[in-house]
Amino acid sequence: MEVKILSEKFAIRDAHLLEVAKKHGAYQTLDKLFAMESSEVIEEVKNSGLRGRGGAGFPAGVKWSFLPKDHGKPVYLAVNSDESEPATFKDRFILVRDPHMLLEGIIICCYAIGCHDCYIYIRGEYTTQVKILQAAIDEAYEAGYLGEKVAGRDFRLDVTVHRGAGAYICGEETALLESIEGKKGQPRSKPPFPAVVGLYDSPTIINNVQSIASLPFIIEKGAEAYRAYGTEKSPGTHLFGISGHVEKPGLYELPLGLPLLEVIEKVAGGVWKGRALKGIIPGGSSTPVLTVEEAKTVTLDYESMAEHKTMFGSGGIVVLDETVDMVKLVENLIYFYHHESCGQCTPCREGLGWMLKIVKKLLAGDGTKEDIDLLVELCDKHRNEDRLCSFSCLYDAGAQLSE
Amino acid sequence: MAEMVKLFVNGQEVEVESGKNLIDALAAVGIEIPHFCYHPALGADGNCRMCLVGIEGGRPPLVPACKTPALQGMKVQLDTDYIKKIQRDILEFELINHPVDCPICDQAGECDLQDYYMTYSLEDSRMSVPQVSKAKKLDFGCGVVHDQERCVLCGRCVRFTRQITGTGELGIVNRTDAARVAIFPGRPLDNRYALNIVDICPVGGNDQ
Repeated sequence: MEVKILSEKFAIRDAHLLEVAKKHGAYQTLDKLFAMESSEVIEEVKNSGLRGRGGAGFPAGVKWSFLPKDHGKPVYLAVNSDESEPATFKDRFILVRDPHMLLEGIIICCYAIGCHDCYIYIRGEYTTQVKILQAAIDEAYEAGYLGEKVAGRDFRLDVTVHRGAGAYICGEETALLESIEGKKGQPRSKPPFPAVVGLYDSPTIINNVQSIASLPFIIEKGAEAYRAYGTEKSPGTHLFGISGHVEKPGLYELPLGLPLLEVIEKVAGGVWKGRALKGIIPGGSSTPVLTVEEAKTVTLDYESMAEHKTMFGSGGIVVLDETVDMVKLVENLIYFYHHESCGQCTPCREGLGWMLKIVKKLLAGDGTKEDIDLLVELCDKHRNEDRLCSFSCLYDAGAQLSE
Repeated sequence: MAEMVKLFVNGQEVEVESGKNLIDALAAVGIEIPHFCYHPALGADGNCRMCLVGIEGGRPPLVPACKTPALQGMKVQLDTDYIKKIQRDILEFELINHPVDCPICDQAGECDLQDYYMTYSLEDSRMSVPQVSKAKKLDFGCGVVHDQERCVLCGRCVRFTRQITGTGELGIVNRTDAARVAIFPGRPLDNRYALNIVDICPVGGNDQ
């Protein structure tokens, strides 16, 4: 089932070094890239159907085409590598095992959108990753892949690494921009969208590490080759981080559209210790939990997940066995989201603290039927709609409780 | 004379000034949209979520009125059950950690939180767990006394010192429900307009 597109060089020793990466094909798409018009690149990415791998799944090429024309301002690219969501651990592998694939993707994206200054926003806790990434960037500058003349062409590109200070919310795209600008990381109210008014009031594209890293393959082999994997509406491959109660947890690259239970059984070795399955968190801790019944019919793509009232998210699958106490799980998750709420808008700021206290009360054995009803109601409270940003939605916890 | 546009509020046609946001535009014809963080002199911030209104057929269908300009033909919904529920919910969230010490609060009688509760909510409290406790009677300087528990974190006072006086003495520190308005240590309010923040506070957060 596994495929090797993004993870092609993951198993190669020292692939983070330019010399080794080049031997295995890094930066070889650049000749082809610079022979293309930038609009052709955007068209190719659109045709590939590549969807944003950060969680929302917005088509990358379409996002790029939202950039206004002739605005007289610089265009920025911000690469989101804040990966702070519990259960998500895909981007870190790209940063450590194959940073040159990311840089090559950045060159492709920047050429397509006409950007000359790229920021990589990296999670503050990723200390090893930032060292390796910065070393790769330095090597790329030295070898002429970045800087005044990218690969000898008349195209300037500077890449700056910006380290976060450890806030989950800075993975939200507008909070990320605020953080790069040196302000407190809090989401902006949209519209205007970052493609129009983004970093330093200029048009900005924000893409996840994995989306950018998928570009070299698309340019090299073409959109059709990318579409050979996955489904019609969710083409391509994805790095799935499977964790929790499975025999073989780890990161696996799989084409989209595979049945979830089959993946857990065949790829991750099934639920550990021969125990029964209780539930699955399908795409990182912010996505609603699937019951065993629901998991039987779901496949790993954006559409099927939406049909099952959950989200594809970031591909961080957490398998829960029969021994898991769902109330404790809820407490753990709410604790995280309460701690990480930016405190800007009212429902998230006040609501999560309230929910955490109610769950603690339940765990202490002092809960009443009313407390559970209230918690479920809080969970259901208009979910995303009345909030400023789309994070913080751990109001899904209700689904778990009502099981 | 500004250009006028015709729009519908709860199905009734009204004529308002074009280009203004919905809070101001509708206030001019006597229709109130509850709000905390928006202030005409400070602009829209969108953090309190109190002014959410429905736009029939709009994308998105639910918008903060403070950030939405009045447009010709717009169908604004203020009295649907959904909007009323949101208003009740936001007030509930604002009030769960509020001390409700109205009898001893200077703002009582001219407090937006109090007025909105009476107009839009009147629900009983469902808070059965301990409230968040914050600092009270903080001396911000220039005669301003701040109560972090009464504060609804709308950020009007913070934006006032940043946008109007340009002195920036205030900020919101911490995240989540530990967020609070504070001065920098040893750097109290120091500007000739400081007492304005008592007046622009929608609740009793800042007293003289």
